[in-house]
Amino acid sequence: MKKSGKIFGAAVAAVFAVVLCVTLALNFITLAKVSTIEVNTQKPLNNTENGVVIADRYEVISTSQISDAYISGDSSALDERDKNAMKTASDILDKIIKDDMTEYEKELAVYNWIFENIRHDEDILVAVQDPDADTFTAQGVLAGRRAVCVGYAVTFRLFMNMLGIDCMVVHDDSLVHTWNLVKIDGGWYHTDLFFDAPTMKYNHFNLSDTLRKSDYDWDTELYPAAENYEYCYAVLNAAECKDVYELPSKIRTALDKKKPFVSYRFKNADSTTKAIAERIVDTIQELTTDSSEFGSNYIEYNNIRYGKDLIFAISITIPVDESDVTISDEKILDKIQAKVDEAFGDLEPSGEDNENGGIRQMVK
Amino acid sequence: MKRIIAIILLLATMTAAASCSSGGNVDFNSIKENMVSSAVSLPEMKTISDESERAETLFSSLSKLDYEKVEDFFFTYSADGSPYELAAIRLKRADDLPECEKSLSEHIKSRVSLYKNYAPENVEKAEKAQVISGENVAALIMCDNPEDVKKAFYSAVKTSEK
Repeated sequence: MKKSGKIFGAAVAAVFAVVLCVTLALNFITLAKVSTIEVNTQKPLNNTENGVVIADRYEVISTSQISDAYISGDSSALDERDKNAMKTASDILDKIIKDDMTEYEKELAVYNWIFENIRHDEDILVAVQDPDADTFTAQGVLAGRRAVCVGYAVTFRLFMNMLGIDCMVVHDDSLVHTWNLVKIDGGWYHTDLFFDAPTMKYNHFNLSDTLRKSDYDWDTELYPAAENYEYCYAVLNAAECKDVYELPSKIRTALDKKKPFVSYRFKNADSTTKAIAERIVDTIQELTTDSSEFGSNYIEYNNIRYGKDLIFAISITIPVDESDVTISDEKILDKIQAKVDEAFGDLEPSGEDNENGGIRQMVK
Repeated sequence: MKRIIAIILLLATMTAAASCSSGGNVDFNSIKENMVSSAVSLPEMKTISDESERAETLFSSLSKLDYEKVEDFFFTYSADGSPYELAAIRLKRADDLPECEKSLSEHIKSRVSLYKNYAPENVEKAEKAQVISGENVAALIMCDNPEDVKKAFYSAVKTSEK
């Protein structure tokens, strides 16, 4: 009896030991798996122009083999898909580019062609993409004429590189968007065709780092600095505005004509002019934001300090590193209100803030 | 005595096995039906599942989990890209739940990030999306009434257990 009792006790102990070992082993395996998950889900390195994956879906793929083949005239190393893309792009360039064009004119011609001919991939937000749809490679975009941001950027880069113009695809730090950096006449500029198409033509055409930084952050170690304004579209095409109080009527005209982008140059403008211009556009924005005529968030603006002049670009949002000036002068406020009323008097104020006091109500 | 030892060993083996293998007989169709029918104001939706053509490829839109670990799944999402998504993944082994839940959370993060960039008005709703689990099933809920869908999910899982 004693002997069988000892055997029973030993057996129970052995079983518990086995169960304990199994449990510990399982826990260890689970912990190991969890730690493996932690490691595997870390984002890949993104300190490279090509090879990064945007929005977990779209890889930025090099197009240099096509542009190199085009420039050298030797396409023997290209596969059929690349050859087709090169032929398509080459035919397009033959139509839109002339030999005597400057780099800027070539860039503008390519920008206009892409703007007119490549459609947004409307499905970019849909959770499940068609596995066969190729809207992110230059080859796919040139064949299908539909693109997501990566598709726009690599296609623009392909054209630029074929023309011998330096161009890069930039990705933001969050890996959700891409655009281009293009070198025109020795200076680098940001161009974002995805955001300009289909309605915001030239809004993001040749921007500086300062202008682009208001929307995105990117690896400034990886990409060259863009500090010039010479070929910024807003600067090149700014209409002179002698009196800041002309802005309301000018903006009204632009809105009525549905111009997607206008910019004005105020010569020798000081901070007060800038503040008045901003106040004017803010006031107009309040009026137009919820108006059925203009839709929501129609107007945005930006300031570019260009030498002594101020370029006021309407419909883009870019901060300027200047000290803030608050307009509190009664005369100026009255004048702003009168001029805005003159140009926009036919519209009803939309917000509560404006119901009893208009521009004065905004000054607190 | 041998019988007692054999029974104890059998019980121990069963306990160990139960702790690491798949969890119960969950009726996956009930889970799907309960979740979808309890969600309100859904726009036009599309659905993929383990029965879809190229299911493994399509599954990667929802989760980066190794498809070998998946018993079955469904993913219902808005056709226009708005923030309405319902999904459930039944796993072959309940052990893989943490990894699966993590992958669904990553999916939500990715959606939020995309909305921030391209449709900021959808960010708030996408950020409220939830990942839940019961038995060997993980689910994702992104809709106007997540609490109701959650209850419907748990109800389906419980019912399946009986």
